[in-house]
Amino acid sequence: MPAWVFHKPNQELRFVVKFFADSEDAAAKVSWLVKRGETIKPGIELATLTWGDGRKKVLKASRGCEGEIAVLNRRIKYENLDKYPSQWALRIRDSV
Amino acid sequence: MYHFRAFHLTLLSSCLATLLLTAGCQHPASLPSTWGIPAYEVDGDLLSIPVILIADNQLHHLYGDPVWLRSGFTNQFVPVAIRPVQLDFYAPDILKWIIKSYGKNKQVIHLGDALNIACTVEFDQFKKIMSKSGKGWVMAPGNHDFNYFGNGHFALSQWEKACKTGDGQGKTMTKDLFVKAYLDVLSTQSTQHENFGFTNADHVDRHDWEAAPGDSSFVSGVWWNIDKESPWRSFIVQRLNLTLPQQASDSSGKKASVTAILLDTNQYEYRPRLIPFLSVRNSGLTGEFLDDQISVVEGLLKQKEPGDVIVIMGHHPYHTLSQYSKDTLARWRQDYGIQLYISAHTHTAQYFVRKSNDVNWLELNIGSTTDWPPELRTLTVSDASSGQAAFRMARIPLHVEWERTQLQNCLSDWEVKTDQEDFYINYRKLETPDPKKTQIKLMDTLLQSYKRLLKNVNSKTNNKKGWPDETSSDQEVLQKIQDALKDKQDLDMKLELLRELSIFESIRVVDNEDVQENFHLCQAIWASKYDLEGARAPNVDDAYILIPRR
Repeated sequence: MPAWVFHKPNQELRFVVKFFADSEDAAAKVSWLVKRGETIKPGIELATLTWGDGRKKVLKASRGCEGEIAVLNRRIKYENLDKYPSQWALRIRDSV
Repeated sequence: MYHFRAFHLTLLSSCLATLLLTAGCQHPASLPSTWGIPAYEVDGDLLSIPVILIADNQLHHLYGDPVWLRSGFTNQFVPVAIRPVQLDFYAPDILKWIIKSYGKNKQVIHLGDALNIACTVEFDQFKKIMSKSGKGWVMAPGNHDFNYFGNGHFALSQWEKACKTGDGQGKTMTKDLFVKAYLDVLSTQSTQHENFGFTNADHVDRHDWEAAPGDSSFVSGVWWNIDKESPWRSFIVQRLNLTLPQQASDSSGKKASVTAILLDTNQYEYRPRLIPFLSVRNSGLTGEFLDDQISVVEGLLKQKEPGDVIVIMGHHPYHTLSQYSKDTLARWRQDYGIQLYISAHTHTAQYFVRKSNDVNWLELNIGSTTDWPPELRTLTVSDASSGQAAFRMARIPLHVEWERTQLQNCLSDWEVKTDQEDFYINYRKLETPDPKKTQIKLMDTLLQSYKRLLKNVNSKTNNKKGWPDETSSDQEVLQKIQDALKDKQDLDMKLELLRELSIFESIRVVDNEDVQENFHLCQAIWASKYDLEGARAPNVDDAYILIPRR
């Protein structure tokens, strides 16, 4: 199961609640590897997720996530990633 | 111009007068310019594990004998002597909800006042709830955990009466008993890789335990003294290893350790009492720690290496500590570079910017999980590229979390309205100095609340568990409650029934467990909110109000 998926109507990556709810450890930090204004496409490494036990997981841009980064979420409520509603992670600038 | 000057003269004289009286007219202290207050999370490697911080749930033993501290009259002067009985009864469900929702995969640090009267039965209930935390829990002692109603070690016969239980097992939780009971819990938890390695009976003779070098246990050391003769001199200090396993090294190959020291701010030279006098403290008003504890903590602080992060946590806020304790904490901050002091006790979430030795520094104060607005915090520490330690201390106001979930489950019919006998804060109208009359009124309110509960949360028809004497259906229980309410005098009978109902509620099989959990939480929410407002009035965060139309 992916940690996030791209939500096309809102042009944003959203964390997947079940991914975090099913995990035995707590998500502790998301460190961004990209900056606002950068252009991204699927497969690009976007962030590192650090778990409460120190393990790390690289998070990549998922299918459909393509364009210029409009904003990154730097106020993620990690303690609620395993709870609904899901939180947004990154928004792509609307091309319209 | 004249008016302007006159205004300022008036203001100045007012300030001087106030200054003399309260040392007022001072600007609030600011953090130094080398500190940052960013609006967002800064980049940098995580240094610590995430932990949950909670405090001041104050579990209350409802079924003791009447005591004068809990009379309607006393409550007029000591506003927290009595809370709504629905809050006393249902607030443990808030704690359960927190542990279930946030304690599954994080260690929980409780900053004291788990109990209210200081009874062993309260601690039993507390540790049962906390045992559900997935990664274990620790606590710094609070004044309510072993002082009679949080005030001191006095009125022993009253204290015993307040802690009385039907089975005769209820005892007062004095400080020596608390340290021992807490060590018992600590020694059986998963918070340390190695067990304490000694039996419970050894607690009094032993004074310390440390994890073996290289052991990455969450609890890495415990130091204590149990003084049976002067229980208030007993203390317990804990060192917590918050360092993230698999942490990235810095350029020199060093890994920064993150350590929390749980201080015991409830260690007193003299027996704490209700009325403070000179060096005799009321533990609700003043916190203190003594030289034997100071020596232990200084030994731990001397082990700090450059770059290490140390946080001290204790129940009492800095401003409520004795002068000697304040000076000690300020000296530790200066000499050992302690980054942060975290306290509780006020029941109001806030930051304090403190000033000591001409340096301004920060204290985080944690709110209560019971009194409105209930809250918890999470804590992590990261490395900021600027050379600072980046603390993330996210406040989780439960009423905001509940807006998405629990509050939407609170049915209007469940709420007790102002014209009903058991309205949550009717206890405030009690003025009788008679503790028994007060207790009868409170227990009648609780019986009414049980009626409401049973009518809305039905037992399964085939439930075999916990039925009170001579009952085997909800209807029969309701009738028994009604009979008890008719009798205006027999407190013992009411208490006996309430003890039975308490067991019944904890083990009966119900039609819908979600409805049961929601009903409990909603009662606690209404009781807590209206108790803060002092009326059935909306809180500033309430968005939806129904107003009659003509």
